Amino acid sequence: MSAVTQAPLPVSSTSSQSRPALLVILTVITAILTVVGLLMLLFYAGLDVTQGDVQRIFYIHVSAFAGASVALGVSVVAGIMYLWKRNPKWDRLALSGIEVGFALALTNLITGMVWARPIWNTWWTWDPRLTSAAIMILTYAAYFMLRAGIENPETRRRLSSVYGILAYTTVIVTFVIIRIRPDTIHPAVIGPSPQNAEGGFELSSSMLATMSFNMIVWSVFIPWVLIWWRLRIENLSERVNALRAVVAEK
Amino acid sequence: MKTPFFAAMLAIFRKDTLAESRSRELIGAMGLFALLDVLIFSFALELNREARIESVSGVLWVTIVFASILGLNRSMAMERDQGNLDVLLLAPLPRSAIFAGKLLGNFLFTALVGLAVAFVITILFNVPLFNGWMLIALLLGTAGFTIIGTLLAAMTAQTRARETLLPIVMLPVAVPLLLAAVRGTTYILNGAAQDEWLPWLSILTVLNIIFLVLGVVLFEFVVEE
Amino acid sequence: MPETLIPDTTAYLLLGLGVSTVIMGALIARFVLKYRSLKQDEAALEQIAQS
Repeated sequence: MSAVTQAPLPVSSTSSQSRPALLVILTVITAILTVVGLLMLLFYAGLDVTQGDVQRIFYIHVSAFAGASVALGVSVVAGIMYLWKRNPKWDRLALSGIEVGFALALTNLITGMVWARPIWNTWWTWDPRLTSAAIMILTYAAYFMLRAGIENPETRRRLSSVYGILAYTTVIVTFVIIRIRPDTIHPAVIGPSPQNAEGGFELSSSMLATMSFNMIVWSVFIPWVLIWWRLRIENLSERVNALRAVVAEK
Repeated sequence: MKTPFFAAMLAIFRKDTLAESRSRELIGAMGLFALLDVLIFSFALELNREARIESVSGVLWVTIVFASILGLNRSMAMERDQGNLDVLLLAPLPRSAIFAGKLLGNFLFTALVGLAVAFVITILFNVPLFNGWMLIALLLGTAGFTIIGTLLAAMTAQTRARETLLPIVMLPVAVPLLLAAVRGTTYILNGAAQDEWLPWLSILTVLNIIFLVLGVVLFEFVVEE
Repeated sequence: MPETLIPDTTAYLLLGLGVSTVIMGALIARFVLKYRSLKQDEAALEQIAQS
């Protein structure tokens, strides 16, 4: 008699094999919306006469940061839920949120650097927000190191949740820093820019529409779909680990 | 019956200060490290008269942060190696009191080292670091670093890499504090108007409150079982 | 306004979009590779568990 039939596995096999129809539909919609957003920023939004075409990167740059703060925010909520309920699924959600948020934050940082090259005349400058965004990414890199350094699964989930909550302070700092550091040259796209901002621009109506559209795509659809897929992989990984334990016992 | 919060906190604080007054292990290591750090900075940056004023508060804060990491690691390692932490966790006292007690001790030792560093810098670089507001900034910054440091050291003590991991997880989270502290002290040293540097001290205070609340709440989850 | 005054920064736009695609693509590729290898492990382990 096999161990599988005697004792049910912690993660049922059906949950990881069937693909929810909603997820598939959502993935297709997200892919379409992303392409529409790209076409809008390339062809629909008006050309910025002082910056030229490179200004269009802003639609991705700003939206990616919004997406990152949403995905990382999901991980904060999941972290709190884990510490409260102690169900491992919340920690898996937190990890998924941070992985997706990390990629989005990286996209935000690198697109910012590419934009800065022609506008600020440098790939990198020690602008407060630029520095803060880089530190935010390093904080989440430290999260992955912390996770890898703890062997006991329960301790790992608990401490990762705590650090995930703490790490979000760097996201908040990155968000508010241009309001408290007057020496920034970072333009604010929404709301008034700091006095010495370089490379700010006025949004025309077609630009505003493009920005809003991309913002919704990148901060709602893309994080949602990616986190969901990532979560399913983590569930599968959990199941494989459980199977490993069963096999090792035999 | 649980020991009341303040009694437990003070007992842990007294234990740490008593042990330290006998061994002088923490302050000795942190102080010597801090002194070396200041000397290395002065060689590496070749600080002349004009450069000093600009970079002295950076040197001061980086030295305090690194020294505090050294002390926090050592303080946690001592608790762990002698099985002290396990006993503390078994004892019927609120977990937040353990945090507050350790925090108080760490803060006292780091603040003493910070003051010593400020004194050394005053003498070596001929920059007057001793005035009322400067000391308040020094204490506020040190408090912030020890709050998150105490929380994170309790976490990294449970990992495989232990001592190596603390700076990696602590430095990025501490950057907002470092930023406010460096800005504030630079303006104070430059003799800027009060409304230039007072906002930085307020930010420092707000960050301290936020990290203190997070620390008290989250510490319970860090030292479970 | 004469067209020559508008700076030609199209190359940077394309570079930026390319980098974004690479980063997000790398994330998705990681997902796919991880999923595949886990599926393989699962199948192999199930076989051992059943035998």
